[in-house]
Amino acid sequence: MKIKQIKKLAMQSFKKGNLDPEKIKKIAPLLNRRQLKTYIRFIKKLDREKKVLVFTPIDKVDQKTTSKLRGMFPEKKIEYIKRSDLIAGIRIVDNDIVYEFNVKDSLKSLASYIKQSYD
Amino acid sequence: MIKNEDIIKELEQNLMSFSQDSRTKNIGVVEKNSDGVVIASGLSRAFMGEQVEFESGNKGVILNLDEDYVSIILFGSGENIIEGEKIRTTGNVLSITVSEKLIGRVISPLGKPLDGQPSIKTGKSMPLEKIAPGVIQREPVNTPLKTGIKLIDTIIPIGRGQRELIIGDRGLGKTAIAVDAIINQKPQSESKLKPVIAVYVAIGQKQSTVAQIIDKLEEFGAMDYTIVVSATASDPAALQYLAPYAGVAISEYFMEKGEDVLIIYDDLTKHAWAYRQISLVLRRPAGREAYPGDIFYLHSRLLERAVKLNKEFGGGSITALPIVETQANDISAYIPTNIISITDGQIYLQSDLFNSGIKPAINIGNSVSRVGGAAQTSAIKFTSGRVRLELAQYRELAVFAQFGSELDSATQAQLERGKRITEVLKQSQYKPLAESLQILSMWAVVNGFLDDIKVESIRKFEEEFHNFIKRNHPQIIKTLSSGEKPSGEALKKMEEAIAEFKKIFSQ
Repeated sequence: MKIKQIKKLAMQSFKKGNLDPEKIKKIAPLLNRRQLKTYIRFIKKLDREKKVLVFTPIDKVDQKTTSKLRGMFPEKKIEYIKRSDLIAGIRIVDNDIVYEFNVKDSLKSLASYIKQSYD
Repeated sequence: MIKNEDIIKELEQNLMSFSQDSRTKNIGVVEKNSDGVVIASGLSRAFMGEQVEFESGNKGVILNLDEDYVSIILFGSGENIIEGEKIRTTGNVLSITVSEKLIGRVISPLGKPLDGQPSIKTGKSMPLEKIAPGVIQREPVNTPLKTGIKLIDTIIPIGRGQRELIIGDRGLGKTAIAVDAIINQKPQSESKLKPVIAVYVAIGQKQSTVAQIIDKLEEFGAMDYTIVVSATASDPAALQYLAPYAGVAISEYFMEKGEDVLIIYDDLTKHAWAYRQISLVLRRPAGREAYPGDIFYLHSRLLERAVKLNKEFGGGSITALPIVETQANDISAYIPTNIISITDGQIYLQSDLFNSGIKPAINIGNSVSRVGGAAQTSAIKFTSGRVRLELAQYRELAVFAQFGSELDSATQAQLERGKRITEVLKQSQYKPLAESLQILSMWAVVNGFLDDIKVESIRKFEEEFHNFIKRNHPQIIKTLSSGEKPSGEALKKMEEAIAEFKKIFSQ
C-alpha cells in the first residue's frame, strides 16, 4: 500500500471532525506494522490540524476572548491549557504555527537577540 | 567597542515592539536523522533555503520541500538530535555578517572564527545565495590583475572581474599559483592600480594544508589584506557546500564598496563531491557520475557572481580563480568540462612538464585567457605577442627535431631561442615578479640578448640582471612600471644596460 493511500485512509477515518472508532476498527487489522505506524502518524497529524491549543497563565478565559478565538478558528476545536510561566499574555498553537503574545517568549527572544549581537 | 547608549537604544527599540506585535513561529518535529540530514514533519510555512533551529541548539538549512516533510541539512554533526525533537523556522535565509574587521581573519562558512580570536557580530548581513549582477551593472574586463607569475601575466593574462580556472592533477602547484597571486596583491606605493582584497576559500582540504597556507600568507604579510574561509575535510558536507558561497558573499560586500576582490575557490572538485553527498542523502535523482542534475547550476551561479561593475555601480570587481583537480590529466571529465565552459579561460597544469622541471608546469597549448588580453598594459603587450609566437614555433619545431634529422642553422637557432624562453618562463614559488621586471626578462629573451648565454645559466643571469637594473638603472624600472609601451629612447637604454651587465656577468 502506498503512502498516499494510507493518507487517504487516515482522512476517511474522521467523522464530523472526530475519529470514527468503527472505521478504525475495520482499517487497523488490514495494515502491517509499518503501514500501521504511518497510519497512526497521519491520524495524529490530521487530529493536530483540527485542534487549536491556547496556553494562558489564567484559570479561566473570559467570554470575549473565547468568542474572538472561535471567530478566528471557526472550523477547529479550541483547547485551553493553563501555563503560569507565560507571565502575561497568551500562546496559540495552530498545528505547526505558534502565535506568541506573551511576556515569557518576548523576554526569551530578546535574550537570544542580545546574545547573538553582543559579546 | 559598542557604546552603552547604542545597546540601550537598540533594547528600547525592541521593547517598543514587545507589547504590540505577536511573534509567529512555524514549528516542526524531527522524524528521521541520518547522515547529516534531518527529515521533519510540520514546518508548513518554511521556504527553500530558510535557516532552522533545533531545540537542542543545532542549526540547519532547508534544502527539500515535500508534501508532508521537509529535508534539512545540518551545520554540525547533529548526534544529539532525537526523533520527536522540535524545530522552528527563523525566517532568515543563510547569511554571513561581514565588515572590514574580517580582513586578516580565518572563519568558517557561517562566520565563526577559527583563529581563536573573538567573533565578529557587527557588520552587514550578506546573503549566501544571491542572483549575480545583470548586464546593466557590468562592464568588460579592462584592468589587469597581476599574479606576479611571468607566464601567466604575459601569455594567459587575467583581468579584474575575470574567472580563470586553474586545473590539473594533484601536487602540480595549483594552490601555489593561487597563493602566489594573493602574495602579489601586496599594496605597492608606486602602483596606479587599486589595492586588492583577497579571499581564500578552502573546501574539503586537510587542516594541515590550510594551516600551511595561512602560515605562508602570514610570512609574506598577505594576511593584512586576506580573509580565509575554511571548511576542511573534517567538517560536515553542508559546510563544505556553503563555503564558496560564503566566500563570494564576503567578496560582494567589498565589491559593493567599490573595492577589487580576488577570490580563490580551492577546490571546486571537492565542492562538487560535497554537493553530491548531500544530494544522494536527500534522495535526489543521480545523473552522470552520480552527480545531481543541477551540478552545473551549482557552479555557474557561483562563478557568475564574479563581476566587473561599471562606474555607476561603484566600479568594484570580483576576480575568481576556481581550482579543479583532475585525475590522470583528464580534462574531459564531468566537473572539469562543466567549469571550463563556465569560466573565461583556464590555466592547465601538466604532470609531464612538472616532472621535467618546468615550474609552474603550465601547458601553454591548452591554457587560455579569453578576456584577459583586453586588460593587459601596452608595456606587457609589447613583449607578450612575440613570446607567444616564438614559443608556438619552438613547440612545432621541437616535435620535428625529435626525429633526429639534420637541421639547418635557422631552425637550430629557433630551437635554442625556444629553450631559453622556456627557461625564462620558469619561476620559483613565492617569488612573484613585478611587471617591469617581467617585461625586461621577456624583452631580453625574445630579442636574442640571451642567445649567447648557456641555457643552464639563464635563471642566474636573469636574477642578477634584475638586481643590476634595480641598483644601477632604476629609471628603466620606472619607465616600464608606467604601463606605457617603451619608447625608442627607453629601448636604447635597456640595450645599453644589458650590454653593460653582460660584460660583468661573463667575467
